[in-house]
Amino acid sequence: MTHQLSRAGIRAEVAELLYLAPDEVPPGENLFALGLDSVGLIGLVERWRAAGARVSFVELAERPTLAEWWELLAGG
Amino acid sequence: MAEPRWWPLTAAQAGIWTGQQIDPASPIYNTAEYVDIDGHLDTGLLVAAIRRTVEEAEALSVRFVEHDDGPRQVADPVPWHVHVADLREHSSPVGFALRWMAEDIARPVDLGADALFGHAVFRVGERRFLWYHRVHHILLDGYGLALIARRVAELYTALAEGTPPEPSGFGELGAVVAEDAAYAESDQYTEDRRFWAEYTRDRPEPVTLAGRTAPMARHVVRAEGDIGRELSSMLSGVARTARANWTELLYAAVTGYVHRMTGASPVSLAMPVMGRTGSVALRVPCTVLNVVQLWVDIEPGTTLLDLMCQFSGRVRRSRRHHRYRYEELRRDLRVVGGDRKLFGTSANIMPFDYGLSFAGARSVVRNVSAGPIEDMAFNIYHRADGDGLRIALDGNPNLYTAEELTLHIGRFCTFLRRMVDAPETPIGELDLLDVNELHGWNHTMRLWPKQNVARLFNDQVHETPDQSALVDQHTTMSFAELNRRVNRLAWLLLRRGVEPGQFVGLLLPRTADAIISLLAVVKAEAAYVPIDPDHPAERIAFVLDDAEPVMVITTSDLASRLPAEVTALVLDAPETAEMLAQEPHLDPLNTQLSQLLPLCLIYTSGSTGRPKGVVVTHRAMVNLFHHHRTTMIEPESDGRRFRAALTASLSFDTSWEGLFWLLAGHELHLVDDEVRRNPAELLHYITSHRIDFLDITPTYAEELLSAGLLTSAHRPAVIALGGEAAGSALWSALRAEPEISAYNLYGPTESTVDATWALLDTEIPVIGRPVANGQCHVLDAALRRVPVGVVGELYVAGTPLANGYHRRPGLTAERFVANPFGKPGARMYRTGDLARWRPDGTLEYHARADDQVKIRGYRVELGEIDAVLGTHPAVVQAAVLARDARLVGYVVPQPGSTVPEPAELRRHIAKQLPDYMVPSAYVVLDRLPANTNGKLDRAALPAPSNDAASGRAPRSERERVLCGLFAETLGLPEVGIDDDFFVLGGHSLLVARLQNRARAELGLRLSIADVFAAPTVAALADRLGSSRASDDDYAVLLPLRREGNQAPLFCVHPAAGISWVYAGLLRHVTDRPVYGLQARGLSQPDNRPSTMDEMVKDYLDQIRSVQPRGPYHLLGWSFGAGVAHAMASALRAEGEDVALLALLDGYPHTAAPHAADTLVALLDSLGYEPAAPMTYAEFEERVLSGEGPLAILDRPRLAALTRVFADSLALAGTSATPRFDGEALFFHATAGRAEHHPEPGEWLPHLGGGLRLHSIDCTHGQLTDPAAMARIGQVLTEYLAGS
Repeated sequence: MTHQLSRAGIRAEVAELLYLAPDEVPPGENLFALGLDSVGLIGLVERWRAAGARVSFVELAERPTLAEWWELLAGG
Repeated sequence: MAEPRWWPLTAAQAGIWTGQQIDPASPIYNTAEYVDIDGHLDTGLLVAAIRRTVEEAEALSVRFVEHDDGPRQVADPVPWHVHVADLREHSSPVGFALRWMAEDIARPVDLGADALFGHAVFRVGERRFLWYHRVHHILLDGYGLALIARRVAELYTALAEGTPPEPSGFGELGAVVAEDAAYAESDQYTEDRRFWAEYTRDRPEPVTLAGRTAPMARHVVRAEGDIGRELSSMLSGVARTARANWTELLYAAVTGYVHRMTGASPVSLAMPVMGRTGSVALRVPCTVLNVVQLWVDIEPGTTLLDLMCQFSGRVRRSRRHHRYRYEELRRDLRVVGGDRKLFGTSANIMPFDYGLSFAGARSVVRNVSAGPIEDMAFNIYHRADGDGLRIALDGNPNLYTAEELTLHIGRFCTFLRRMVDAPETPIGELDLLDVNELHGWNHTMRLWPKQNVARLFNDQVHETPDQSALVDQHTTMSFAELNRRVNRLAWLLLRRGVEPGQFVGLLLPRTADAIISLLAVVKAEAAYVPIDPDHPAERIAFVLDDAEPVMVITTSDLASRLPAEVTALVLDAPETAEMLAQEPHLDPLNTQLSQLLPLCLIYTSGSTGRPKGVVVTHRAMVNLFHHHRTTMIEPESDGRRFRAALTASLSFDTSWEGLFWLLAGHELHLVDDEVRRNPAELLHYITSHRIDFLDITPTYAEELLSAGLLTSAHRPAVIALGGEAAGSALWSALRAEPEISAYNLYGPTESTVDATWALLDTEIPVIGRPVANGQCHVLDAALRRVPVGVVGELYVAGTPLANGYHRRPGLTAERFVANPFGKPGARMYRTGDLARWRPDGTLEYHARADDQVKIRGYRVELGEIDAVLGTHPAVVQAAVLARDARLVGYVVPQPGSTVPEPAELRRHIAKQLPDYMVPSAYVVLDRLPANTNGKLDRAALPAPSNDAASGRAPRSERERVLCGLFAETLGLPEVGIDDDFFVLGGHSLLVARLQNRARAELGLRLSIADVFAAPTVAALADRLGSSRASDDDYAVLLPLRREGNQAPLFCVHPAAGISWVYAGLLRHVTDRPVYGLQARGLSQPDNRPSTMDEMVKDYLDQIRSVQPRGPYHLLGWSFGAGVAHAMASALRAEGEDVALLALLDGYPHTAAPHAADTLVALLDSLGYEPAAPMTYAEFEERVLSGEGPLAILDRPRLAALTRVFADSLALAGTSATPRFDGEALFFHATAGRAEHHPEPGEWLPHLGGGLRLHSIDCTHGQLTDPAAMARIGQVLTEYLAGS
């Protein structure tokens, strides 16, 4: 099911959460510095897990950049 | 064996550790939750999973030990077990389990010895289990608890399914500690610190719903409620459309609620933050949680959406800096300890929705306790069952009851719905009230017979004609006799043409004739106008001019006060006596007069410069009579005849509190002026006449109590308080008396004596409930009712209302306004008092909304005094302010004219206003401060600088104590030896108090004549002999007070060697002798100790000369703290008990760096103003000619003292600080602390029992000032009473 989580899709979801346009979220930028908070992250984790991704809150919070999430979510 | 592994504490842990040390026996840091598991469970496997998880989590293996370089956490697991209980047979398994948890969490743990966590598994049903997990907050925060719970579920599932478990994935505790240490050294730390310094520059004061602060308790009170699924999804929807998340909406809603409840803006909120993002702690069960302060500004148009924007903006702006510890911020902002709060209300919205699965069995996690609460915390949890949100409202039990918290939850949820329904409506326009809150409290309807006061009196006369009715200093009269005399005078009035509804003045001395005249006027269908003979002529003239009485009843002595054009009936004139003798003694008429006619016209202070007359009706007074008859007089007297004392002036409506007893058939004592004004004499009267009822002001009640009311041979059965707010000390004292029923009665004259009443049966002072047929409304500025607990302006309505102000229709319309909660045409009176409802339906008085003040129970409009003061020819502008219960006048002098003397201004005002309205102190200003609207800004008026003596300081110990007593009696911060007692606001009541205090403190029997003849401390001391300091003042053991029932308190001198600085404690520590220990070098300069041990031994010999065996009570300020500690340790080493060790901002002695300038340091140590280096001659000049504790010295003595001071500095640190195995009370001076000032925690290695910390907001040098001494004395007294 992980095929549902495309890079563009992940980026779009994160960007929406942060009230930014997708291209305003550079892959290497710390997402917490961009305004992500733990509540928002929990929402993302829940949705991605529901979509079949095997990631945890901790894993995503430890490596809070889009580039690393792409890897984590693709690896799951 | 290898040394066990250990780590230093993280900053988060250190904060908790310190908090725990302040009260080592408090369980407040225990946090807990339980997991409610629905399904089949193998208890044995669950226990195994728990044990294994605990082994995996390093943080759970530690205990905390003190070390030279600070506390450490040492890996040293303590044996523990999982409590397992099958409660299926129990009648209420869940209830039992919850009680067990409550008991478990209330047990304190020892950080150094105990297992700091606990587990229990309860089987509460065939398919239901509760797993309980408690842990000290120093080990885990909420996130940490969740990591543990998740791991236990994971392991259980693996064990149950027989699959090999995944590794825990827990990181190492050492990594968190290392990260924490690295952060403290990092640029990020510096940047964060800078950010918060900048961010908190315009930090608002924390807001609290309680309206006050209180020390943290040892437990938390909690109420719980739910936000249903529908409302939850609505608020998520609103948040989404506003591009915010639902937690931000809830934070915003909490600030909106707090704003509406308190009226405050900005509203500040504390928000716990996880503090783990990007940190190794994401995988480590440990404690990291931090708290940040955020605030929002709320203006009239602010909506919920605006609040969300502001809130999320602030969160985003500060997010990068959330790691900076709030404990450090507290230090940066100097809000450490005591009552000083950093946060106020806090909100913690927890998104950790961990619905755990135990091999398929679903579960819900419930929080049991979330740790310490300063004020109040909204904990909002996501319910794992998907059914909305759960609120747990935690409160500090010193501030909130569970009942109040429950009300808050209900009201918050109602208000939340209104906000979410209309997110774009200004918060201020939404209704806050849950109408059910106030249900029934105004349902006071009672039906009484339709009577007037004359009829009430007649009925009583016919019922008990031969019983005694009225007693004055000359005579006792039966009801029949009183009635005959009233009737004759009433007939005379009628014959002289007095008609119904007209006013008749009463200008009479305080004798039975005054009561007879009052009743006669009433029987003649007229209304009486009381005129106080003590009032100045101009005031009397004003009242006569305004009321235009058809006649004034007076005596030949007083008739001269009346202007010639006034018709006077002179009672003691021979012709009057003749006429009266001719009149019939039968009732003049059937006294069926209308209830709506005026009964009396009572003048009160008016804000615009002239008094106003309140027209009080029969109907309202009769209503109050029946109210008191049924709620107080009959239940209390219970068939017996009581003796009631009337002590109020007849010119006030409160005189009816006494008159009611007469109307109810009891014996009324009209107490004369001499007696009623002197508490000791009044007490004597009460005792000798066996008075049963007394109505007095709280101020006067305090005087009577200190005169010994509660210990006298006879005590009144009923005491009514009224006229001003009752203080809590008086409240508690009266409440604690089982043989006295005390009532608090509140009401302005406009609501006819009393609008509310209360029996003193609540913990804190209240004004109670509306009287019969009366209503009270607490309203906001838009005249909307405010909820329970919210301060608003008090309006009273119903039968008690007066008709209005005589000849002042404009003012009447302004204060008696349409009552939107009553029948059409109903009015309500705007009291100008701020009050709030309590959950029990009683009202609590808060403050005044305007410039009206109460001086000794008298109602005073400052504007009236302003106006009179402004009429002095040398004054252009004037203002008056009440400071510490006395009046201060401010004048701007006429350009070119000489500044008027205070005595001249006092005379000017006293010509026109009663004595209680004459300011005692005056301040000359260039102009009066104005606020932005150009109105007088009373709050900006400066304190009078002439509070303290312009002149000399005390010359002896006795003068010092007398100065303190003068200041205490007068309510002033300081009094010099040349200040005149009466000039500073003293009056006869206060002389009586001064006498009592001088007897208690000094064993001095002052006569009133002494005080009048010698009204200054200097003159009084000279009159009583011996004013100069004598040799005894320098003895090593200085008796400050020899008398007392308890063991003495020994106070060790500061570095300067003198101990009379402790004299200020005497009036606050009253039950025991107090001795000062002074440096031997003062009296024997050649016999100074050369080591600290020598000094300690010397002092122990001294204290044993008056108290051979323990328990001992020791106190020391500054240097003296170290000595007292050393003495305590030595006493313990010899097997003696030490019941008190009080350290006044003194720290373990260290070899002090050589002071740059000993003289400067010496002055500094005694609280003198900071000084520049000086020569010895300059020092001598400054000390001996100025004020301050050293002014009493002569030159040789000052030289000796200077040597002693240098000795002290040298002796400090000559021996190692010993260890005292008990606890110490530490008074921490929090103001003006230098950067590297030592901290109280430095004592901890030298104390076995820990430190009880009390912060005092003053500098180190000010600790022996009166205000600080008062606080210290209070703490000591409470401590000693409790030990």
